[in-house]
Amino acid sequence: MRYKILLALLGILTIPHTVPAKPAETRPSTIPAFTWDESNEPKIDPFFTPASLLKCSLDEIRKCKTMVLWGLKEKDRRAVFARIQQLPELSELQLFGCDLSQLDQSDPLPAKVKTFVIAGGKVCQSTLRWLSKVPGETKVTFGGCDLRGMKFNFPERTWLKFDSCELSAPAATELVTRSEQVIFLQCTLSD
Amino acid sequence: MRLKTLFCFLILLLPAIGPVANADERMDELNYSGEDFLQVPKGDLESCGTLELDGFKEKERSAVLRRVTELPKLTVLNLTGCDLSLTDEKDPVPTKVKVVMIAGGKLSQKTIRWLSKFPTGTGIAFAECDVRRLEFDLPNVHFLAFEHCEVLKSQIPKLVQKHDVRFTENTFHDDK
Repeated sequence: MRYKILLALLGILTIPHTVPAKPAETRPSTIPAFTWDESNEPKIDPFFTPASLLKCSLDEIRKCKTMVLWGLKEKDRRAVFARIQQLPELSELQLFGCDLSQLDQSDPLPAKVKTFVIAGGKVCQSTLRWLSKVPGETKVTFGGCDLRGMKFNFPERTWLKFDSCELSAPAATELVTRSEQVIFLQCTLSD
Repeated sequence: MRLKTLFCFLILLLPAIGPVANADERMDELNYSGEDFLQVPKGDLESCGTLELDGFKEKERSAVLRRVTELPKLTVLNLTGCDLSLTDEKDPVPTKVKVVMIAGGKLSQKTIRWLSKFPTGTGIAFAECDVRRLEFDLPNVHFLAFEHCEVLKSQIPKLVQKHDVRFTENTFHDDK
């Protein structure tokens, strides 16, 4: 059930970033397997596991703008985030089923990322401290996360979305009153 | 400025509701005052998909709402600056509407009871409304949005528990 929700969430989140493929007659016929963005460059498949990300050479992924990372474990965290830091054009980072419990404010945030999605995995208060360093006007989505007992300290202009999450009622109230925009979808609140 | 904000608001809300019409079907967007709306020949309204009613008064309410329910293609209803305070569950609702936007005007608990009659899956957006003291008992509603509204802090948990909801730049008040 949770994976269905995550899949739906991924679908919704991916739609606005999908560049429509050019009509077949305008594509180079020799490379039919690729889709093409507007600059006519091959589009990088945004789906990575920690292993596949660390296996890629930096040149292969240097132009990656959106990354969907599945199943990060604590043992890979430093290497994976060091690699993510090296992507100068990365503007959207989706972390699915990742262990983010050991991240904290001393870890750097990818500088140009304006959209974060955290779906499932392990999230704790130190993860939120890490994420709270985002600049204003960043969009942060939590999907299927248990956030009960956690406090949020995002900049006022962060746009927040909680999909199928559990939160404490006072934290939800504080979020709404402090943030420019907050969306709740199918959330459960506890006292 | 207000219209631009409201238009953006509506555009943002639509993806959450889903497509409201086939692309090949002709759907008009029409904008009337309550008085003008009652004067328009019925034939001119048949292809109306989006209707904005600007400032109808209590004396026009029954006739206007009856006419709204006669629009066969209406899926988006914008009520701007309208007195809806006496609208209640006895008033008719258009059956194909997917999005209702209420901007400004007058609301009461009766209005919420009227809104509860809208079809299952409807999205309702409130903009620049004072919604303090209102209980949002809207089980059929798919999505609620509040933008630039006056809201009580104590309303927030109830809204989140019951509905999919978006809050944007509202003013929040403590209960007295």
